[in-house]
Amino acid sequence: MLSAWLPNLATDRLARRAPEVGADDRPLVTFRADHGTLRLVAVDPAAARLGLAPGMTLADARALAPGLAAEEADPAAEARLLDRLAARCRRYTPWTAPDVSHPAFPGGGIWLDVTGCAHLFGGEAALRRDLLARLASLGFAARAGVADTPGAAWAAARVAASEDDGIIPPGGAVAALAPLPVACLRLSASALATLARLGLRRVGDLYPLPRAALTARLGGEVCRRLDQALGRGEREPISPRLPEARYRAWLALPEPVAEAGVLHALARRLLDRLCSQLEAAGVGARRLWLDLHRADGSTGRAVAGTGRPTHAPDRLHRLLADRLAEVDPGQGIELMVLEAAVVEPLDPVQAALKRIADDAGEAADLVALIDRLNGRLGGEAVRRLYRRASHLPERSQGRRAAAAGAPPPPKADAPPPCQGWGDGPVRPLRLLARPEPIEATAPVPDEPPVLFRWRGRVVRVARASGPERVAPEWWRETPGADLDAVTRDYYGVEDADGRRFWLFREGLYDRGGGAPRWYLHGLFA
Amino acid sequence: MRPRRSPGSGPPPEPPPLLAGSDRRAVLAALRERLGGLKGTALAPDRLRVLRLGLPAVDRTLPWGGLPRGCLHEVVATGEALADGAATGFCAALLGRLSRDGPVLWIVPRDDLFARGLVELGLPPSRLLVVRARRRVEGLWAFEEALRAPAALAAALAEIDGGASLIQTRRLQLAAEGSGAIGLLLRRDGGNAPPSAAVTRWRVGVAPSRGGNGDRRDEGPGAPRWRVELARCRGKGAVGAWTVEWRGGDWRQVEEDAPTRRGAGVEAGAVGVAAEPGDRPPRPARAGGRRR
Repeated sequence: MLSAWLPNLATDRLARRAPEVGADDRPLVTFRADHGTLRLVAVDPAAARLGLAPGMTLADARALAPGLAAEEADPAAEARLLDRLAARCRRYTPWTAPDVSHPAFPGGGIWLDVTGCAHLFGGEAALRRDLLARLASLGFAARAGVADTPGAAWAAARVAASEDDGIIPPGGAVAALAPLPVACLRLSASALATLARLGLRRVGDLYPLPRAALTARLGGEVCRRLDQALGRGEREPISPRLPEARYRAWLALPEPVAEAGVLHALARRLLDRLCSQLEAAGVGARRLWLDLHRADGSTGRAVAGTGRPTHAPDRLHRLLADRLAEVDPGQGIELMVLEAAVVEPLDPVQAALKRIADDAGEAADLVALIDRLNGRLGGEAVRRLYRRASHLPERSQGRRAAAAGAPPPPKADAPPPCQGWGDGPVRPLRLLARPEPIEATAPVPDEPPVLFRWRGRVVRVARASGPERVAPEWWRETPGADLDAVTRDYYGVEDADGRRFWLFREGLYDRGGGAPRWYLHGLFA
Repeated sequence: MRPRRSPGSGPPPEPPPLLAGSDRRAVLAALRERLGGLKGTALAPDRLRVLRLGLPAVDRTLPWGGLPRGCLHEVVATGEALADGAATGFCAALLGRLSRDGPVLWIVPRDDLFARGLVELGLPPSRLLVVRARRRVEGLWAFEEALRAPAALAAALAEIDGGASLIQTRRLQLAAEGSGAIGLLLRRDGGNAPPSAAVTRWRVGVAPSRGGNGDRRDEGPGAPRWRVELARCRGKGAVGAWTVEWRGGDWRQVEEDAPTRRGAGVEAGAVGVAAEPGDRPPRPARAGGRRR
């Protein structure tokens, strides 16, 4: 069992992201808000040398080290990073897992079960050296310990005397752990405090004590951890992170192929294989990558996406065929790799009864159509309009990507589908994205315009209604100088031929602030 | 669930035995229908499902008693491209009727549809999908894909700024026949329309609205009115022109008022200025008019 310890995980992560921050020994710390003050969470070695420690307030830290670089702690990002590192360590053994950090030894850790794998790397010492070298090349300061129990390995990694001395020979846990301090047993703070009060500083001090007395005084934790470290009793349960299943099918061609028809047929074959894998696993693909490796070494990729997970080969083939046509085969394709990059669990749809199958078929057809349109025209080409809570016309509706599900057909006694859109004054059919300025002649102060000039044409108004006053939304934070800040008076006008326009005047005549301006905002049916 | 129909589908009917006399007419009719079904160009009136427009005069004029489904129809906006909302309104009202049967798709070159306006014309936004196609080629492709989707949509409307050529409309018509959806091609460039394979062609323009009494300027615009003209109809060659008004959630045909019944002094382009009568110079009296 190998336990790797990255004591400066938080600061190393930040230093990797922004190299100039961690360079030239500038102290780097992370902090978080704690009951109103900002306290340090992790400090890097340069900061520790200056006397900073976790738990100190940020203000004190800045007083001690004026050139301090401080960032907010992000435990979620650190956990993700640890997951990724554990996944990388899978090159040594298939059994890896990230380790929960202990308050006495902050940072992150990784478990590796190297039973039976060490000889592949030339022995445990060589494996440990290789792992530490790799972590150092990635920018992480690390220490590692190897032992036959997780507890002993953990202790060896954290409190080993020097860099080289991290391996505890099999069966030597008792002797190796005896001189180490009790903190390496992963005990809680209260247990450590009690042990300190009792004068028990080393693990070797615990050996001769009767277990019943220890349990009575300190609870079962001490004995449990001691047994785990020394290998007595039950094994410690640690679950490895299993690698995520990858759904992939590939085909290596005996000679380079450049004809589109052949490539389509081969892609279809790959798709059938991949879809049987997906179906067996009960998942559907949301995104497919088809990598085409050309004879000259370059690679082209065709990407297809769907709105809902699916494992139907026909649908995916149609989506993929469009994208495949855009990839240039060049000298010829030698290797085709089809991978489902994003998968989601898919509930199986029962297609037994004909009526249900028809309804599901209709909805599936609409979903397929939306996917095809989105695939060619861009991710969100197909949209629906929805209402927003605002009385400003341009903010009163929004557009969002059409949900893959179609609304159910209206039932006989359902309320009319237009309900809820608000009865109110008549609204135009088209609303221009940006209101166009016009020159209008209108009697002051509130009369509708008499005539106006728009795009070089003069329109004489025959009928008009209004004004409808739309005031700016004063509750919005930034009124600013944009259109929202000024009151508008809307007029619906019609000329003698029957064309109808929706105009507004921005600003009022009797208030200050410049002459009001006229705009055309929409067209009626 | 709409059955998928296309003229000429199914096994060809058994050819009737050749008879003389009065049966010849029946034989010729059967042969004509069979020929039309095979060629796919003539649409037998009794074989298609239609959308009743709810305008009796228009429905009577159309040889099928309504707008045939599974076909492409072209709507041309007379007048200027952007100043004319009549054709858009007509199409929106049509889509509103069609949306009762299923979802409808609208392909726009610019994102300027306003949902409140669509609701007033009877098209609920919950059954509408809007597709933005920036280029004409993309719009035509999306239109064809939408019409080809089997039984997914009730109708699709595409605003193609330059119209479509004969070959393109032929493809669209074939796609619509396969799926049974109605395709509406809205062209806003007016002018001379090239030949197309659409089953019907409509020209829609604005018409002045009426409301209340008189035409004073301080009276608001009335209910929308459109001048709808059936310019071309495949097969029987029927044409007609009507004025349609949208009022109260449905449309109806109205009679075009004779110009002499309107208040005098209001001619096309002139406007009554809301000024004191005493300030205006006296107008010459017009025939049948009265001073305002």
